Amino acid sequence: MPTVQIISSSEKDKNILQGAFADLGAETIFSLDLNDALAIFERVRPRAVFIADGEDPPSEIKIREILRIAPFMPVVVMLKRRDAARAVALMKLGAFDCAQAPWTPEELRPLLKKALKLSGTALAVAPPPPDAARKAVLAAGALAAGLFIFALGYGLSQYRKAEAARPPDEVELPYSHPAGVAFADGEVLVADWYTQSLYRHSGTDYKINGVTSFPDLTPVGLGHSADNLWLATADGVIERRSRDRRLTRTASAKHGMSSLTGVCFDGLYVWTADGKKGVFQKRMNNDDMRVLGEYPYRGELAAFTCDRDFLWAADSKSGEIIKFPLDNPERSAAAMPVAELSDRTFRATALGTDGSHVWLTGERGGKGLLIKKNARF
Amino acid sequence: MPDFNSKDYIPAGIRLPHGAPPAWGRLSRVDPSGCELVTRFELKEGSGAALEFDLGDESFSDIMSRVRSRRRDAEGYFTYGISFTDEMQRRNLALVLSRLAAR
Repeated sequence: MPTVQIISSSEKDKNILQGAFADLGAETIFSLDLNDALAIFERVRPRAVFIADGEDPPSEIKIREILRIAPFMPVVVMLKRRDAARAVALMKLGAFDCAQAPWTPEELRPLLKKALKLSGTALAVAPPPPDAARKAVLAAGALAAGLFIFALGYGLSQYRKAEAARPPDEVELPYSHPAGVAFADGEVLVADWYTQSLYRHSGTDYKINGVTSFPDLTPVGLGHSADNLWLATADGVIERRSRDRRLTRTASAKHGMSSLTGVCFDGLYVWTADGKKGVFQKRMNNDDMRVLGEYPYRGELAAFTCDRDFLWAADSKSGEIIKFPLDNPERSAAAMPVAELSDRTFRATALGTDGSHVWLTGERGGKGLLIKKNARF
Repeated sequence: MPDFNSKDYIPAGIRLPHGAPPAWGRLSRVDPSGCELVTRFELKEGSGAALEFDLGDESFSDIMSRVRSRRRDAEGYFTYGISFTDEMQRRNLALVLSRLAAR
């Protein structure tokens, strides 16, 4: 009995699909989300993956991440309604095919059978019959071979990417509204306000290792330390969360800024910046994050972060990343021109630093970008 | 035997007459006069459809088509022989296919 993996967080859909696939003679392994699916994928080794569309993270990301670890895997997206434009778009991204609702055995049967047939070379002990049926067999063989070659080519290109010694300095993110960047355990963490999620990217190839969704808040800033994350939200709150698996909230305080541009931790104090007001704020790292001092900033602050040595500001007017000593935040120590900040098509939204590099995120033409710059200037 | 191949089977949107909801499939062959379309959706022989697909960097939409033949495989997918009915669109396709072949 073939095993198929199904990614769906809905209990109702799970019941429907369990029955439908049982009717088709397939064993089903359910995963609630992408993290769960990737975690059990290696152990289960499914013959095909079916994704319920319309859940978080989007199917586009699920397709990409599954094909990254299993390039030959047929991935079928189950659409909530018949939407040809979306189906074609998902197929362009690598989906094998798309199912339409209702997800009945009749709808799923051809998809399942075709997906399962892709997984091996057809072997025969006798030559095909020399008639019209032969043409059909040859056409089916050509289709399977073509798909195999495509999958092989895709797999090789992914392999080469993974083998590249140095990760690229600029990467296009699979989401469009990055609002904060931080670092933890060799991973790059990016908060996206639109999908209300925190994405954990590998520090070597930027693939997504995990996603944490925050359905009840919209992140607008992100900072980190060895033990905690600081998450600024659109409703004017800074949350401190421990870096456990659930990102448990340990403190929450109103920041009182009209336009928070960044939040960070220098090892002792929490810092915030207000781009509209032009000010850096130094705060206690306690439960109410009391303000200890304010320092004016005289440029056009687009993004802000800090580390154990400096405050870092991305200035969209001068087109520079500027650093300020922690003990004298009113006097800049050095500045580095950054072409992206002078590019009017790019909108910087967040800065982060991992000690050796300073990272800029932003949006250009509806795409989210992550850009790495040398911090030693 | 095709002159050259695209890197994969090209996804295609299928607009159907009489307000039927659009369908989708993949093109297993394209030439200026027609194509072979593989899809789970059932189309009638002789019926019309408007196809939408990309060839290289070019996007084609509303390619007026007619179903000339069909067969169903063991998995339940249909393979349709499709002819393109608009002369101007056929010429455009011929141009783009020639450009792709020259690359």
